[in-house]
Amino acid sequence: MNHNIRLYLITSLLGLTIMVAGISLFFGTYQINKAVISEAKNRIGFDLRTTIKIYSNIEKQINSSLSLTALDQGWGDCVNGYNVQHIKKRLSDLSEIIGLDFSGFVRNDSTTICRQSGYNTTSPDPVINPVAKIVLKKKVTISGTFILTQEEIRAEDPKLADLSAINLINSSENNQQNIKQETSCLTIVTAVPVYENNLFLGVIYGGIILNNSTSIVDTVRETVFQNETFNGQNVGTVTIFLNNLRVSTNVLTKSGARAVGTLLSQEVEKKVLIEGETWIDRAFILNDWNISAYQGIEDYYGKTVGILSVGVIESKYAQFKKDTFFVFVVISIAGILIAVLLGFILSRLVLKPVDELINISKKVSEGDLSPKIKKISKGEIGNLQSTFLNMIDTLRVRDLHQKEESEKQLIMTQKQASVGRLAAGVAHEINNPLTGVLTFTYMLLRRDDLDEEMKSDLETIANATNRVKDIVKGLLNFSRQVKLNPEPSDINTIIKETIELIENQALIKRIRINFDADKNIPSKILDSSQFQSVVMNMIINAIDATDPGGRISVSTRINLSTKGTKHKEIEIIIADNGSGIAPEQLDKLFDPFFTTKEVGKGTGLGLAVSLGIVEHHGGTISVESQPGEGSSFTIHLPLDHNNE
Amino acid sequence: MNKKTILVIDDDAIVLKSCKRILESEDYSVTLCPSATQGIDILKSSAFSLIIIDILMPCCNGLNLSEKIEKEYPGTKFLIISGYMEPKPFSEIIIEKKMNFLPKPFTPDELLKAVKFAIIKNPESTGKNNKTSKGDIDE
Ligand SMILES: Nc1ncnc2c1ncn2[C@@H]1O[C@H](COP(=O)(O)OP(=O)(O)O)[C@@H](O)[C@H]1O
Ligand SMILES: [Mg+2]
Repeated sequence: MNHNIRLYLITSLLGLTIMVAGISLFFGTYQINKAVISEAKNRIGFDLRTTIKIYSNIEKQINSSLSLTALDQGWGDCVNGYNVQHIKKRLSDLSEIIGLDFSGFVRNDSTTICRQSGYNTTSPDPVINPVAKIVLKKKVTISGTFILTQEEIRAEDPKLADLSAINLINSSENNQQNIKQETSCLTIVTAVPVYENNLFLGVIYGGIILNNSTSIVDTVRETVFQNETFNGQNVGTVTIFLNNLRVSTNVLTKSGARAVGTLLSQEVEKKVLIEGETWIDRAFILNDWNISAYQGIEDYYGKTVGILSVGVIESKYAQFKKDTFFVFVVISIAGILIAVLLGFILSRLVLKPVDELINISKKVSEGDLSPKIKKISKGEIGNLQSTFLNMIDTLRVRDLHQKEESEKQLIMTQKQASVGRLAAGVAHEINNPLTGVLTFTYMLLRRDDLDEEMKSDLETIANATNRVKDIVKGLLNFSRQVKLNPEPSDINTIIKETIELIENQALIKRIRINFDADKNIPSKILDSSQFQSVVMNMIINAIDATDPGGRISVSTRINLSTKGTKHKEIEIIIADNGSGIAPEQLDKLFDPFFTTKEVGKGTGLGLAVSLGIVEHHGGTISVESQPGEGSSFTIHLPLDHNNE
Repeated sequence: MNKKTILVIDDDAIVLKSCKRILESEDYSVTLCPSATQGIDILKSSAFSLIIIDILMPCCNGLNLSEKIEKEYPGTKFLIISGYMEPKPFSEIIIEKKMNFLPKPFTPDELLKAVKFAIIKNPESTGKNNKTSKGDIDE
């Protein structure tokens, strides 16, 4: 039974922890997922802004370098004197410092007199860089992102045009397009007007080509992601799009080459290129899931011509999520183990006293009342223990009592049995000769010729013999060999008749007998003559114990049973105000042959036989007495079943 | 009026003698018999108005004897006497069969009264006769 409780405790604790662990695992991972993703998005947004900053810094750098160069002295000499070598020197110095892909000088007569590459400038060339052309007209510095055609690049340097052409890589997204090569070129260009002594000399211009360039994207990756790697792969990537085409990137294709020439997904293209929004989300880029951010690049005219994008591979965060999940699982398992352990210890603690109680009650139920409970716990278990202890104590006392009672009973039964055997033997041996004595005594008494003395002698013999007969009969009754002859009888009537029989004897002694009969007593099946002898003996005992002038009151009533059950019983009370009974004699009253009366008057069998008869009828006799004040004998008889 | 004849079967001579003394004083013709076997012999030659039988005898018990006689001579009347009712079934048989019973010791008056009653009583008294007297057993 207590194993069940233990199991119960442990399973409920287990269930609870599993539930709590499950819930926290679920919500924890959910929350962490959310936090990780949003953190990743935050970071990538920040990275994107940094990238944009770097991009515009590059533009500013070109701008300020060219502007500074334009402020140099000696441009007039160079231009007027056609000192092209000198201009070229300045341009290549400049290019060296800030890494320009192309640069040149356009004179105020709309001819290009010098190019960084030296291409086509032996004599003034009418082909002019488109940005320089605008400055030639507006005479203010212009700087920004421009898309230049291949021809315009070729004019700067034919080699450059070949380098910046991009072969489209086929993918499912662009199969409806037939363009095999992208020839336009994303560039950052600055053109600055050159003055000397307020005289407009021409335009100095320079720029970088983003197509196929690696420097910007790799610089940004180094700055922003510090070349962090995960599983041998760069965590961060940076890409520059021309429209939806990757023209500069460090995203790698499967073969490990830079993924230049691949296209942007249409979803992002729509959001960023057409709607002009910044886009930050999970995106599948070529081979991996990334968390990416995209923002459009506006050219000098305010048109979105390309995209700057950064991405972080998601598997890095996935790993982080995995780790977190693992930690959660470990914590949960630890919790479960602790719960089991705790449940076990708790149940041991709680159940130990219960186990003890169970063992003890087993012993008690087997009749062993000796076990003691060692430790009294606190609280309910303690209450249980002390209640149990009280119970055992009560049982012990009762047990002792019962033992005493049954010992008494045993002695009594043994006494009765031996007296019974004796009585039987005596009866057998004595009754036959007694028959002879009685017969011949009475036959003698029948004679008419007896003188008074002889007659009185014979009568003495007859009386003595009758006494012997009575004693033997009493003994036989006591040994209960005489069968009851039960029949429905009215107890009140029997008592009344008995009193009538004995009243004269009482009156001689000036003793009055009162009878107070309860009319409600139902008839009871009993042996009326034996019952009469019981009442008779008690009244005679009362008369014997009472001095002249005393009174005896006999009464009947219905009362609750003395046995403590809820049954009712008939009580016949015979009370006197006579001598009373000494306390030490109370125990002996019902012993056979116990008498205080003089020899010949009492046999000491009256109450012994009476008790036998009453017990035979299922009843008992109780006595109360105060020496010098009187005694009260009560016969308790159970009601017959149909009267209960 | 014919003399009533009574057979007394008891193993104790003093009881036989007492019965004879009492019954003859009232003009019964009494035959005494100290044992069961002799009693059966006597019955072969003569009939009796009443047979008085003691229960406890050395050879056998009086109740069985009365049953045997009843079987052979239906209608025979009995008066069972005994100073001792052990073993128990005896008292029950006596009550159940409503037999005439007189406990020993008895006075002459008690015996005469019981004998008179037993003779008057319906012949099937050993059987399922329902007329009986309470006094038969108790006193
Ligand atoms: N009503 C009583 N008042 C005082 N003593 C009594 C009373 N009834 C019985 N006794 C005592 O109990 C004893 C036993 O009574 P009982 O068994 O009837 O035997 P007996 O009457 O032959 O002495 C009596 O001798 C007497 O001492
Ligand atoms: Mg008495």
